[in-house]
Amino acid sequence: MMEKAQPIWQELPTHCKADVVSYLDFESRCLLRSCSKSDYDLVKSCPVYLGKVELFPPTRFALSEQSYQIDEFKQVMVFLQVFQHPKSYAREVSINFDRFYESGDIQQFFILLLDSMKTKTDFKIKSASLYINDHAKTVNGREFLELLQFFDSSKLKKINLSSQIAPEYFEMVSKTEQWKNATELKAFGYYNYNIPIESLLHFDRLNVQHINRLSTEKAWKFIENFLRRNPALGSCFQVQTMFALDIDGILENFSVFPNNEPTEHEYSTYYKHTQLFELPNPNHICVVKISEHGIYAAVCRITHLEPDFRWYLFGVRIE
Amino acid sequence: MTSPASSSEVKYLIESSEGNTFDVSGAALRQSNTFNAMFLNIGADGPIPFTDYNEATLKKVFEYCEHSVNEENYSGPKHQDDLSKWDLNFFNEMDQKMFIDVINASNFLDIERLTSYCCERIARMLRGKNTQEMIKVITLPTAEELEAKQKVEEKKAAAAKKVAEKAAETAEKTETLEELPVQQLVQTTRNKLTRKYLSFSNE
Repeated sequence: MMEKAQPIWQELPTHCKADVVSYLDFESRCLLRSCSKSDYDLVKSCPVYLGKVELFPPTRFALSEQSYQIDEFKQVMVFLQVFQHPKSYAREVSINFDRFYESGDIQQFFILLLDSMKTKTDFKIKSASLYINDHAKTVNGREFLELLQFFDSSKLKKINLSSQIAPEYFEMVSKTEQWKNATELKAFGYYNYNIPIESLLHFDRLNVQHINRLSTEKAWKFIENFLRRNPALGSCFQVQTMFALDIDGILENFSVFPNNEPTEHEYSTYYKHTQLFELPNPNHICVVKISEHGIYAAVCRITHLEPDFRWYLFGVRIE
Repeated sequence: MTSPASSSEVKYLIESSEGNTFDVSGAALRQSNTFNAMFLNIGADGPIPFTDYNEATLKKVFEYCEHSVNEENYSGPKHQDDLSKWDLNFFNEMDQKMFIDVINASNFLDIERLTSYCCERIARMLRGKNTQEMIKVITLPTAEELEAKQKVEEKKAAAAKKVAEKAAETAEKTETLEELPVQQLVQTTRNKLTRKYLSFSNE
């Protein structure tokens, strides 16, 4: 006669069960949760630690690179489940709207997401990074502001936006704790209005593309502020403008004698001026390059000026 | 035989639930936080009684401890591919009953490394399974079984309640005369006599 299987689960102490759950991926946890009421409670009591949480409404959802075909309602449900536990954490939350998606539907999805989060008491998204890909600029105003405020301001370090922040909301967004505490900003939208640059100066890593205009004073303010903060190795910024910069005017504002010292080995006309600023750390140099439409700066090792500059600003490795 | 452990050469006697004793090295035993908290500093006069667990289970647990004595830096359970042949054999040799006993003993002895390995192993058994398969793997009772179990328990509770009620009723009826106060005793006797008289007179 076949021996009856022993009940593993009931015999296990609760903290061991929690240990088992901690080794399970999110999908297995969801399935275990449906086994019994006590398992539901057990899974609910265990925080989830994930890499990326990606929403691609209306049909696709991905958790740590594992993709699922689920509708938008389920996506919102799963999203809430992921962050249900106050200690749950995801390295990145990405909300990606397909280019061909109707803008009304995007808004509807966002409202569904926001309203669902509002029904939960003290709901917070603990993630180091937020990425929103919204080319249609449908949710760049109040919706973005509300979503941002759901993030735990002590955890959110990086904000990555594909479109501009609506002009009437920029100030409100920049006053949130989440914005103030973040250390990295990538803003790829077209800022066809004058944004107050003061709200961009605290970022250790800044990449703003398509700023409307940048006066010589404001351009120097970016550089001066960056230098004054005694930035750490790897800190960098790049600001690109839609209208050409007045390079001579910027150089006139320099607190040191403008001395063009190109760091690239090959001949290049892209950068019109390269200035090397000394920093309190004698091993580091702040390389500032000015092109016709942009200012680029990075703190580099004195021995690896060009490789470090390219790596920190563009993620490109060179010898 | 047993003394405060200062060197890994020291051997300790362990007593199992069967009353059997066997040797375990101090180095192996020191992986148990329970042992460290209870005996490490004060030593033990006789065999250390871990009498909630049988000899086979304890030997298996300490076999693991002896093996991992030299693995100093523990950084969580290894991935399946990183497990050594010894590790794989260690787990594969155990049947399910032994596996559960080992987890529980390891949990009691607070041997973090072994407990984590066991939990990771259970997680591996569950990964990629659907709910029904999970229930089978961890042999959870099904909803029907739980319902049947609940019904049996309800029936048992109802029967016990009935028995208790009956007992209380009987106890009420068989109140002993000594327990009644004198006046009540006189009244009860009178009533009985009256009933007897009436029954006679009716006849």
